[in-house]
Amino acid sequence: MNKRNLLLLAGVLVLSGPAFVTGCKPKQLITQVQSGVAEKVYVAPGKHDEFYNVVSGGFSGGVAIYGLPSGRLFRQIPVFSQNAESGYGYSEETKPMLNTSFGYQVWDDQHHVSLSTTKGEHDGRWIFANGNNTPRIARISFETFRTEEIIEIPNSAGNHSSPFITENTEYTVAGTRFAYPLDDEGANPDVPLDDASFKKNFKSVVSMIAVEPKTGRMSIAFQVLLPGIDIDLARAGKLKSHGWIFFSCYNSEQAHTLLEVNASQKDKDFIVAINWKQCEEYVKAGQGRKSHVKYAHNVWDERTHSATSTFENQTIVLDPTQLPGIAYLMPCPKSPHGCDTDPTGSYIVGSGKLAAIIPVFSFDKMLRAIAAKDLEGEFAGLPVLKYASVLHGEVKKPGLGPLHTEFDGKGFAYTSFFVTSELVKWNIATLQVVDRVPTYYSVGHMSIPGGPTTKPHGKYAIAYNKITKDRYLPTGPELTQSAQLFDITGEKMKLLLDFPTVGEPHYAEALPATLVEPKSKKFYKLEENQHPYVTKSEKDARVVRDGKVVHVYMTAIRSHLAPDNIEGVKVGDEVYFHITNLEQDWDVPHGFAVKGSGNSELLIMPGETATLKYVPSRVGIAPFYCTDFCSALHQEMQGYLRVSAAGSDVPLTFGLGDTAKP
Amino acid sequence: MTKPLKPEWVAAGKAIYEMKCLPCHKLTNVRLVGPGWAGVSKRRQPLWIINMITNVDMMLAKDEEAQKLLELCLVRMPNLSISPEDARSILEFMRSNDGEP
Repeated sequence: MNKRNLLLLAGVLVLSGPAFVTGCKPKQLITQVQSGVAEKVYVAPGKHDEFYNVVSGGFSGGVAIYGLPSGRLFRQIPVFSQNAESGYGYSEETKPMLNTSFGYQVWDDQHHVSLSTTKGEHDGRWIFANGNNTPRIARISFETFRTEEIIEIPNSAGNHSSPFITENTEYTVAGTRFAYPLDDEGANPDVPLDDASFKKNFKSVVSMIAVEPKTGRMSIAFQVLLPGIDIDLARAGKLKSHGWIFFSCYNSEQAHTLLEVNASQKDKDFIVAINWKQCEEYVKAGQGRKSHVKYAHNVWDERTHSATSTFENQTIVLDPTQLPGIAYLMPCPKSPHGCDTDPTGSYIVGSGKLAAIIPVFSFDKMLRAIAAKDLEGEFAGLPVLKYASVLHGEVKKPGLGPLHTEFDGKGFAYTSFFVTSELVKWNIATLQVVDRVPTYYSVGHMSIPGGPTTKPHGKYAIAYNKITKDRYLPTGPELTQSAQLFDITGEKMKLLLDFPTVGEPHYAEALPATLVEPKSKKFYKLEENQHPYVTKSEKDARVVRDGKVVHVYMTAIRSHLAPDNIEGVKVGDEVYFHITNLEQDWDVPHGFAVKGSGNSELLIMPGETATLKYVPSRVGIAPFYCTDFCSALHQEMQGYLRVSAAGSDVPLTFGLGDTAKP
Repeated sequence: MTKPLKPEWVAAGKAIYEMKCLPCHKLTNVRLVGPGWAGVSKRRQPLWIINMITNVDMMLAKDEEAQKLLELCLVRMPNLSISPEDARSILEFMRSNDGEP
């Protein structure tokens, strides 16, 4: 088969489905765009977008910020990975943010975001983001768009069903995707990989991480012990179902190898319903077991422009086989991914990614089934409610491979379908499909502004596609990721725009710019800078030696660094450049780089202090300079560091202009 | 204008000068990035000085004298987010620097 035929075949496989009678070529797809759409996504020069789109950065480990409807990328926020734009994870101040019980982690996988809510509505305070690989949750400020806190989740692996939040941001949650032997001190995690060992030793927990209402500070309130299953996604109840949270799970087969086949045997897996208010009562009554574990808690302090990392050593674990009323299983076809509660809190939509229907569960019926003990049996000691008793109904023949559902607040749900590559709109009350539209190609998660809240903002649906292929100019084997914007204001969904994204976005949320834009911080006030190595006045710029450690108290302002001549540093010294940007105006960062640093550069915001550690490795002159174009004399913003041999007697001197040597 | 100068304003102005102005302005008549401050309180009207400190972007857009200085120095004076009260203290410090009692 030649290459052209192979491509065509791939197209048929990806795109054939209810929306397609025949396989499609890209040329035909252009006709899917109706005329007049350009003005709907055109944001005139100097004008601002209507929505912020907060998009997970996938394997980049960060979070990206786009504008809607333009699809323009504004910022990549480093969260779980080092960042070569700002020095995050390289500067001395930010290194503690990436600390874990496994030590310093340079790169993680970021899957989902959750925007803080009050009474179920977006409030524009914080972004929560999960670290999937080494389980963590981060909190990002909507004022600074910086990561302010990261908490590690012990007793867990593959933190996928995270960081979804409860109605008033009481909690953000975490769940174990890979069943895993617990980390308890004294437990023996060195267990064999076989069926008997899996059933005996491998557990899954969901963790409820409390969020302090004023500061946002996180702490693990308790963990609920579940049998070894793969917990996948989660949504909290809202309004009438506030107090509950729902987790989808797959691999109820408890397979430990070739899950592709072995975890797809049963017709149904589960949605786990957790009554977290009941859990709180048990914790208060001291019914939890203390689990002795070690996990990092990293906090950024905006006053000192520095992070600290401390270790916590305990969680409270609740065992629902011993504590009745906190966990129920609802059978759900088949290997469910999405598990989404509608804006009224009445319905829970399961999306079995191997199923050909969408089951919709009724919260009221669930409560009745619990009260009536309407069970079809037990799974690992947990009650399993009868499918028919908790079901509101099934959406029939919606497509293949439903993944995830969001809502427009007008009684409609929108489900993404990976296998048939489409978005499907359906009526929650009648369960009838009312519209479908193809996506290019193979959509994963989708998002509607406010879609997971009690008050969706509607207007658009965005498909975050898993496959890009021919949608953009090719860039070799490695392609940009592909998102698509749809207008959902009418009866029919209309494709408006393709826009490229970074790092394989999984989930995303969007909220009106009016909730965020007015409070966006412009610079840090010098008067409030409490960094221990701040230099608030150029007259205090200096170099101080303490044994082999050299502290450079340097200032940056358009367009010079002070001091800019330094002598007396020796090979093998540990030099810390503490650079304070003295600017007090919006958008005047300065950068810093020194030749052969072996570390990174810095980018320092106005009023901020940042530190680069530099260990000179050879004798010579090491020039340094500002890396961010700051003024007409930016090229002049440079200096020299003289590095002498270890043991040399060159005295430590420094200066700038008059105070430099003539 | 205060006569004699208010010492607490002079002190406050000096502290702000050292944090935000000193990198570019000497207290002599030597130009560094911007003009030296010696004599500035006699050369310029108080209102002009306050405007330059608190609203430099407007001054560089509209004021001929400010524009002449930009042609001379070639670096736009940055907005350092100084409040009118702090600007008043800086002016007091300039007058003190120029020898007013």
